Amino acid sequence: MQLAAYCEDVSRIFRPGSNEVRALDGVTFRLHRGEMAAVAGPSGSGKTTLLNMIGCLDRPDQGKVFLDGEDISHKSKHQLAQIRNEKIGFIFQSFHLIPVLTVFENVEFALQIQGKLSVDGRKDRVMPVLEALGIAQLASRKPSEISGGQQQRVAIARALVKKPVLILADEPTANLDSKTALSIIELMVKLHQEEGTTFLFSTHDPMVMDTAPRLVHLRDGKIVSDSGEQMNKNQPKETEAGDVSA
Amino acid sequence: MFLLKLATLNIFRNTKRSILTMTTVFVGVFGFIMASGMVNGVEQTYVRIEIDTETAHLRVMHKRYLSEEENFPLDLILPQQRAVHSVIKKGWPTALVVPRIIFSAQLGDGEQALGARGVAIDSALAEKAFSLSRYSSSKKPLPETGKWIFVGSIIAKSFKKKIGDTLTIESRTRDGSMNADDYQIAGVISTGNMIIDGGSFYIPLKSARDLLRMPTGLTDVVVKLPKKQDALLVSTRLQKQFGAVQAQTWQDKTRTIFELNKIRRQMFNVLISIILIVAAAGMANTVLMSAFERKGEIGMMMALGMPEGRIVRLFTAEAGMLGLIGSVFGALCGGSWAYYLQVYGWDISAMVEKTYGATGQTTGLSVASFIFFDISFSTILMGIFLGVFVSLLASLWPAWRTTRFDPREVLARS
Repeated sequence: MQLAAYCEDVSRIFRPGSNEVRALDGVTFRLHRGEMAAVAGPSGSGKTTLLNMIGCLDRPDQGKVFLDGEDISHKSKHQLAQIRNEKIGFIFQSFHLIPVLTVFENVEFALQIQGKLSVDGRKDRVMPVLEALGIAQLASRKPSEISGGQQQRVAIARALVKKPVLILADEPTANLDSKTALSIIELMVKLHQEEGTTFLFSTHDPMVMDTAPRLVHLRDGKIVSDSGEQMNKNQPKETEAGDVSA
Repeated sequence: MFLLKLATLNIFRNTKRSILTMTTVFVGVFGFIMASGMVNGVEQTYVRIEIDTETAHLRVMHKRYLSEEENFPLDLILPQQRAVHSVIKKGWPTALVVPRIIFSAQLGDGEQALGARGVAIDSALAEKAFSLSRYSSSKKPLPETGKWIFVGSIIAKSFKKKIGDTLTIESRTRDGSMNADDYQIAGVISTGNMIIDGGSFYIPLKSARDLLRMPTGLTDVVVKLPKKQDALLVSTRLQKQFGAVQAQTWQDKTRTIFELNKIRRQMFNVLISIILIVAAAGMANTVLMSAFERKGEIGMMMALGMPEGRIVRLFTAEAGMLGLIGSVFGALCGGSWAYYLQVYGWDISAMVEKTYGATGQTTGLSVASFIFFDISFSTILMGIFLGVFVSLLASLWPAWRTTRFDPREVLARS
């Protein structure tokens, strides 16, 4: 199976003042296309740093990061932005919708940034996503006029609409009540199962951990357990950075 | 287009702050247009009243006359008057050459007396050159003969006289004796030139010759040319040809105004620059505050891979929109008010009276009682351009500053 992301012995060291904090310490991690994984762990365990690394928002101090077969470890800021633009969808804890735009325009925004499609092309892409997520009827509403759960659905739609290689979600349910959080996770699982969307999200919500098909535990910057480890071990070494199926 | 739409929507996110910022741009552009209109208007007004009511395009006199003009000398007559006339007519056949005698007089009505400047003119030629009748309450020209007087409106008001009433003119004759005669008011003239309205009167040349016992000779002639730009050429030609003649052009007469206006223009430029700097600081502050308030949003845009240049463009577009709205309103209000003052004028007679006295005669220059602004479409466009340019310029640094945000940090903190 083709790899969506691969971290090879990745370390990231922060130096606040005279201290040295190893946010990631020799992490090797593979995520296949069509896979859905949750990264769990206590605060400061390195969840967000791992997501930032795979999401091209950060670069490793040691090791290599591959995205869709491409080594992104030494890319420039501009190149990383271009990769994010084309290959990664983000879902944020605080949704980060633009309050002055409608639901439709917020989702369309991701395509506007890409600048590849015409007005009609964007409409043809956005509406089916809104319908699939059950928010088509909210298309003309502003974010302030819809609930938190609906806002997160809009954020998911924004991540999905550009058909990325991978969707990264940093604690996507942290700002939601348990019932809404469950519905969001179920929606993501459904998208994963039906559409084959690749998801990697961080969480410390036990309910979300239970739902995730694969769970990776981080502590002090190291992977302490990975329910998908066996599958990864079965991967031939030469395909780790590449694109050939097992 | 999308960026512009988003920028437009964003400026209404904090309406109060946007209005305050737009107001500073509004004030700058409004001030620029009003100041330009006024400064240009002062020049135009003074040139117009000088040409239309006093010296036409050129005034020709004895070479010593100007230095003694304050004493209204009747013995310094224009030499070679006929030759001067024919030289002008030869070069500019359609030019109007208006003969005058300028003299000092006292106007009285038996109860009060007032010093004034008398202008004896050839009525028919003066009518052609200056259209005096259009300034007269009677709307009729000054009769060519007889004891008729056109009197300035402020003088008429101080004597409480109207058309048909009589005023006595008392003056020293050319031989130095005193003479007086009664003249009937044929018109009260209001030209907007304080020297005329507040301190001058016109009488027919023929009757003036009797009053002043001056059967021949003129103190000066004023010349109206087909093109006012030719005044210098005529002046040079006359002074070259006639050694005893001096010519004063409309440019010579208004030079002081232009010099004063240069200083006034510089002062306005400094003032407008200060206002625009304040507007620029306000704009930079607004963009910076807006960027810091929307850190999370910027982080999201960066995470989605929006190029830095487009983020800068978004914020500069917001500043540009604020600047454009403020500038357009400033241009509309400033332009409308300046246009109103261009058509109806700004009455400064009270100010002039306070400075120069009711007659406005303490200066050799014509003094306008109304300033007519001079505003052009290009000045209005320039005002808008200036407002938008300053806004865009002021937003560049804060807009660039947003691209220094670290998306990891801003997303984590928000």
